[in-house]
Amino acid sequence: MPHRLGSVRSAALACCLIGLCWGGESRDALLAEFDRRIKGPDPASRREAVAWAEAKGIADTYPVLAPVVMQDADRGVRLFAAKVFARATGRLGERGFGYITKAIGSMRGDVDLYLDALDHLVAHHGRGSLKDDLTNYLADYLAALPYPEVPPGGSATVTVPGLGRKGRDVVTETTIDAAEAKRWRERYARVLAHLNAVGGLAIKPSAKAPEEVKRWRQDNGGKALMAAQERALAKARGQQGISSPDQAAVLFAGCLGGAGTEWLAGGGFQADGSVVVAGTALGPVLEIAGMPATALGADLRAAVAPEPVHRLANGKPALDGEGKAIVERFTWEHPQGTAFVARLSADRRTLLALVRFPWGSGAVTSAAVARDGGIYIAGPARDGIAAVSADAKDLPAWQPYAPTHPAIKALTAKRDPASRAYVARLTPDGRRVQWIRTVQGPFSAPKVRVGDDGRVVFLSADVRVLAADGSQVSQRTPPIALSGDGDARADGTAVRCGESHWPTGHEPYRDPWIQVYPADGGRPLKLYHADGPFVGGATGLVSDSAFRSVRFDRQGDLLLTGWSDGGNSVLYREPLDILAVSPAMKGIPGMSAAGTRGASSFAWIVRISTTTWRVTGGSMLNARLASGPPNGMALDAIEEAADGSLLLTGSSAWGCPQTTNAISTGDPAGPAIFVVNRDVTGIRFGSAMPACGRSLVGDADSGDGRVWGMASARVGGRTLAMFTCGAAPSERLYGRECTPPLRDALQRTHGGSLLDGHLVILDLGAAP
Amino acid sequence: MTPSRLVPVLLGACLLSADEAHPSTRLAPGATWHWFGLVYLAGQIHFRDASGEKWPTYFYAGKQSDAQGSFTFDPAKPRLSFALTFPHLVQAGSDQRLKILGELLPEPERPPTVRFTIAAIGGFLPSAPPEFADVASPGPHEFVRIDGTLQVGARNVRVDAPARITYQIRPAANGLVAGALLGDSVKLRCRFSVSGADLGLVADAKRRIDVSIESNAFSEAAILAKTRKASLAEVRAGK
Repeated sequence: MPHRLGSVRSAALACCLIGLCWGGESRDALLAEFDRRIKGPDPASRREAVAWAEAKGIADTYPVLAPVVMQDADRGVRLFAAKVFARATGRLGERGFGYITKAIGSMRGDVDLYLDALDHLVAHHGRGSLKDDLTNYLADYLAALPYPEVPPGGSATVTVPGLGRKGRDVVTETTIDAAEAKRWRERYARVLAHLNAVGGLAIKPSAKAPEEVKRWRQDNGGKALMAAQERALAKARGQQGISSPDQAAVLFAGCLGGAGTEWLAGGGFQADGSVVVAGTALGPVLEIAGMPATALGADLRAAVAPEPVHRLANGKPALDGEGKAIVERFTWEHPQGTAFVARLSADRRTLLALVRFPWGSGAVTSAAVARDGGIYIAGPARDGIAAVSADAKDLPAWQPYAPTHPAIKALTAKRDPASRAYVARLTPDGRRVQWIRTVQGPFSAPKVRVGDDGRVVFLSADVRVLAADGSQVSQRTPPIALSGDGDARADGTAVRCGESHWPTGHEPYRDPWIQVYPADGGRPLKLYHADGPFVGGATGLVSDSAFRSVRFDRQGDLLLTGWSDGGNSVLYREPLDILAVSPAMKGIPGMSAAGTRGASSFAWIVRISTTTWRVTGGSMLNARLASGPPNGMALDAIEEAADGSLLLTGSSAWGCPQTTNAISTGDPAGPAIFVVNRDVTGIRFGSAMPACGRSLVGDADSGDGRVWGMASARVGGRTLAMFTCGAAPSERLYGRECTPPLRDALQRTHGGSLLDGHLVILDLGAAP
Repeated sequence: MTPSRLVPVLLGACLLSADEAHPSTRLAPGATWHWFGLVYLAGQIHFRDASGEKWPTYFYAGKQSDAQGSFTFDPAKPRLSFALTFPHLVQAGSDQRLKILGELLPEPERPPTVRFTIAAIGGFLPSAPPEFADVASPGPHEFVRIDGTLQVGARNVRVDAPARITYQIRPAANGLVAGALLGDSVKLRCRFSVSGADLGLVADAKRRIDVSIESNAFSEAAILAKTRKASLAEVRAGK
């Protein structure tokens, strides 16, 4: 009966005797009397009080003796109380063992006292109890070791698998201090020797443990990535950054733009290595590297210089910390938005073509390049856009998924159902529009994807699959444009992600959700989105959480970025069973992330199989302050590179993880781009991107607040990746004026307008 | 013998006759906890495919749920009655075909009635039954066998299974001593297995389904403090 009072007959008899012989003195009265006695001013009287408690049969009660063991000012009284407590709790079985170990655990700072108390523990609870205590001690020791990747003063989380009670992992977080580590090692050696002697054990010093821990980190998904982040601490201090064997190389970084205002929204690579970028120009002119753009179709209106839009607060311009007016980002919905496409040579030294649509006829929110070199762009359509091609057609109009659904009503109230989105195909040389198709309906920022089979997926108000000749193959109407981010496969399967609000009984809760709409039009599958009361009551994982972006990868599985306000989030659980921790997320701090001293924004990467619906990879990706603790960070968008790596964009308040070849010109703060390996175990590239990400190519209102475009392809046996955005001439970050990153660029400076396009090209290595 | 002397004598006698001691020496026989649907998660029931091939199905009872019953501590003859309906299906708007009870949920917005009732319990068990071998919580607790009924839709399954009753231990707060057993609440947890056929499954008729039920009951003082009512009768009347 380990869960009960063990030999209770004697206790019961004692109870009778108390009643008979003690004149009706109740247990509460005994406790009160003990409270009075233990407050004696001298150690001798307190020692007598402990003996008195044992004589009265109340020494096995945790609140009676544990405070004495843990807190008495006199070491002798503490040890005597531990001896009595061990004797009394020895009769309580497992529960008593819990009492005594908890009480004497506080003695570890005083090794002599601790070892003596352990002797009493062994005497009354048996030698078998020692393993648990030893392993806990070992965990403390490991936590204090000076890891090579974490310098003294840094913070390290150490997880030792299977070493804790009942085979659980031991997880310890500590601040590394060389002197403290030395003290722990000495204590550890003494305790180990003592426990081996007293317990008849033969446990050897665990000299290899750090290596084992390191290897375990490398083998265990999310945790390993976090270890890599810890190495980034050095970079955060202006020293060396993260370095990995598969680190990406920077081929190109720089602005593309002239005297007008423009930004890039996407692009791709052609088979010969030519680089295609597409974006939105506001005017009044468009030229890149001295080449003026060729207009495709007649202009219906003259271009005018765009005015900066100032953010307002109470009807007045809002000011930043330095008293400057805050300028809003230009968005894809700007009425002057004009699509343009540029092609660069494979060596990125020559601009091969630059074309634009008629001024104000429609912006670009997404672009893709097909295997045959065909260039696809998509965005909002306005008057005059049909003039860009002789093959211009309207596709069947959007049909509401559920016209009476409140969200649909809200959408149609916010966005004009009569508005139109377009998708167009340009010839591989980028000089002619082969066809353009428009769809009427209320839409978020349109997206275009092209598969290896040439089929085109066009997402606007709904999902269309088109052939390379522009004919519509299928039309599906999942509520893809409602809110949040979404994606679709060529087979018609669609996905959407976001967050909803749901009370939990603990606190208001932002509940992350994913909805997968099957190709057959059947009922959608919900992932996560467990009911608030169930999340709060059954798991306690009530950190506000949300999914920010979702993409299908080449295998049709899901890639997601997420956000949580704290570590106790359902995002490390299985999508269809939030009571189960995903093995792929093993090692994520979880609740222990609560002690992160102010960080309130945790970024997540999640990969989910659409076959098993299990998490197959993922991690947190967090910024770190120079002093060690995590800092706020967010990931806005994700794409899969051609080699399976993950391309990510986001931003941090300060301390984003950077690799040794980061291209930032300032602090590791603000917008940032990353490449993470396929298993989400290592960072291949990470860099802050000051002055970049200054225009919206996604839909901020719906949560798809993308500011970057990303693409990847295999070219000449190499895997290349690109990041595109809009860049301001400079940005002031933590007191320094920083310019957009520059590396082997076509133009050496910003074009001088409000925004230029900005392009980064990375070489991810030999194509697998 | 004065009444004040009689109490500990009787308590000791009770303990002797039971040949057991309750985890809390402070807990008096007759202490009672009641089930009301007063909290956001009044109870939960898990159906888990023992083979792990299918995803689990969860139901829960929320606030103002249909919860009835009470548990009365007595070292010799504890008494427990319990009935709780679980009206809410977790991830209700989703396609349920990947889940163990998906066959019963073609329209997940209208799930079948799921209700668990306990009519009687036996005495405290001397040791942990194997169904709870993996439960490591060291808090004070008892094990009993229950005689109950699980209703899923039109099916009623008789349940003879072990249950664990865990007594709440409060952390130190408000001047209280850490570890003190206040008796504010007890958690009832039942575990048993049924076959798919028991629940009316056809395709998964032969699958073993592990069922787990959890619900908390509260002392009268806790209920009245939370509801600010004068009596349990007022609480029941919803005044």
